[in-house]
Amino acid sequence: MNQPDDASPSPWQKPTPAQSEAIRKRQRSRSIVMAVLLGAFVVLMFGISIAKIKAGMAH
Amino acid sequence: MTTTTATPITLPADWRDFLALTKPRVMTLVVFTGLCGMLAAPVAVDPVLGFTAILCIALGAGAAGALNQWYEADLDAMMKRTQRRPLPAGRMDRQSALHFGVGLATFSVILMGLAANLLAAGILAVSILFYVLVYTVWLKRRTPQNIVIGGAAGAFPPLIGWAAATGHVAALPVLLFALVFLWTPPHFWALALFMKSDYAAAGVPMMPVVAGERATRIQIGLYTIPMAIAALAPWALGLTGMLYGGVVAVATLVFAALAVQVSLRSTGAGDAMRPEKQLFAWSVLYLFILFSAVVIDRWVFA
Repeated sequence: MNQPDDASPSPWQKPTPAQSEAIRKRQRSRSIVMAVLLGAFVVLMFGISIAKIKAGMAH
Repeated sequence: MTTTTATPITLPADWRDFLALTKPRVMTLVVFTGLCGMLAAPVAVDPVLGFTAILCIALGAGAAGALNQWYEADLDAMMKRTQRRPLPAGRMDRQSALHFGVGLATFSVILMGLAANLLAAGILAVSILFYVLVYTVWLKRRTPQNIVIGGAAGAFPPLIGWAAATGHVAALPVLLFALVFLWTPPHFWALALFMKSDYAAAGVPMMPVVAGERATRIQIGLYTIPMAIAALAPWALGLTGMLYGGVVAVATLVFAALAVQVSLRSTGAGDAMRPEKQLFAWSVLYLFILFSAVVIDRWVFA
């Protein structure tokens, strides 16, 4: 018997240390890009709000 | 003994692959024509709101490009020009591309509605849906008229830019829409002439594949006539000044000369297709020149 009684066979291949490192690296770079984009979005929304308030005051 | 087939490890897609999904090179012309539509409008636009509107046009175009690649992954795999894209190259799964495309499209339309106005957001939504549903899903695999009707999708940006600035639609942006719409067939058919084998391999019914080279060359010549009329119309109707009139006359003459050269040619096997490549290159430059001229003219004669 290859599997212990209390463990069901996992459908996922266990990643090698090199693969784990590559996945972590990819996830890290995506997280950084996402953080930068979210930061830019916050700044943009702030700018839009200010512009809308100014336009409202002008009217 | 129980045997199971383990699912192989796949790397999550790189952020550069998501960027490639948006077709950044195609986006350049879309952003430029949208920007010109906005700058040609007779109102001053707040720089932040103007930037946001152009960003939304870019994001909307990117979303349409991503959804196009999601739907056409099988075709892209068969064409040399597209087989290194993220999906056919296996660097990304299709579900990620679909989620990215739908998310980006929704985000761009909502942001346009918040920053500019509902009319601009509505036209942006229509342009995305037109490109994805009418061109990609409905026409592209069915008819050689795919790029004639589908060309409307790429013609919306000047209309969106103008609508974002003014809140309404006027004659000039409609003529700019008509110009891009009528420019699309000679532009794409020139490309299709020298990429014919690629389209044939993928089974895409482009004009040269279905109707042959001779018919395509005649169509290029014929479509250049209404395109030239649409290009001259803003000046003829008094919507632009002499500067645009002069530029459009010279640029359109060059376009027509190249189109006539392509129309009258017949090629044998192994032809380098130089006039066709020249027409394609000039057609891209032509649109840049004309839209720049519209903006400069409107600023000079305003």
